[in-house]
Amino acid sequence: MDIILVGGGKLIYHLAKKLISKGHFLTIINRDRKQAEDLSREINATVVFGDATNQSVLEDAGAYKADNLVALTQKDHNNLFICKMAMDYFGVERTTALVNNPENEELFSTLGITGIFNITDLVSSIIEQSVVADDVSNLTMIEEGKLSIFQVEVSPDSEACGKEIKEIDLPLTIVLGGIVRNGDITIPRGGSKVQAGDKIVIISLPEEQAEAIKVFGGEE
Amino acid sequence: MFIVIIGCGRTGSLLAGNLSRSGHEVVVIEHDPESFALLPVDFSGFQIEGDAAENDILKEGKIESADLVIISTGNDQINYLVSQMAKLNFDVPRIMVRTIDPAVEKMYEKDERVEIFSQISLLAENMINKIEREGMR
Repeated sequence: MDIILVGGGKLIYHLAKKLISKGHFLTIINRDRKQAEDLSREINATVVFGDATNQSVLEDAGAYKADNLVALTQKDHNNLFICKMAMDYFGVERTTALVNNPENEELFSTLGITGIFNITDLVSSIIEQSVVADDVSNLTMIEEGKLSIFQVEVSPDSEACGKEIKEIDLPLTIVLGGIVRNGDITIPRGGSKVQAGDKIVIISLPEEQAEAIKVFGGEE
Repeated sequence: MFIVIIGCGRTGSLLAGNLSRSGHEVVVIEHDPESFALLPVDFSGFQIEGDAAENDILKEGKIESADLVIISTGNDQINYLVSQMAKLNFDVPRIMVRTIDPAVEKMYEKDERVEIFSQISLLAENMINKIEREGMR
């Protein structure tokens, strides 16, 4: 795929390296001369020095043949504008934007941006969970946090401890993906018994995460 | 008419002064408090200090009940974001946007509720009109 990345810093650097290793063709646009020079030295991609909100800079970066444009600047108005310009002026089909102000997520998606990363919400929800419970770890989020996969350690005083899965009272929308015991993974069945110290891999909606944590992790 | 003006630079302050003088109810939103000094002394509308790209600030300016929003900051990107917020988040019936780079004009093409005013295009048009008119003399 032909991908244009807009922005700078460690995020662009590491993202670019990953995408290149997967065989994509990259063009990076950065408006800081020093950063643009560093990127062009460190990364095997075309680097365009300039302001991506400028139509001619996007043109120089080959926007007319790009499959995807990813705008990762710190300013929402720039990310929106760059994505819109890529879509309306150059026919780029997929655009991805970083949303710094969580309130803008809906607006961006209404305006047709296909991938939206609400970084503030993502990071704050991950931090929030790690602050609330040590024995819970987030494995991943799907669709920008609409579904989460996480792991809870079974506490000896929890409701679930010593019971079979089918005896545990859980909302139907919480799915158990695996039981990790001494490093071995078993796929849970109705008859699998849960022991203290087991780590349960759980797939659930974010709003039901608390319920699942309570059943396996016990109450504070 | 109830008019909300975003940006109190030279354009915004001139508009705000004249519109309030002719009897309209005007609210001006501007993030730099020093810019309010550009408003004329007889300006009788409201001033709100804050970032217009935040819903809460727009709400403070009662944008949801505005008959018209005029967006005149000096930044095309901010103007675009705020115009879309006014349209989609607050359902403002009429939006006027100042544009700076003529390349931006096409962006608003399909926006029925948004009218754009490009200072460069207007200036060029005015000059051309004048030249052509005088050429007829």
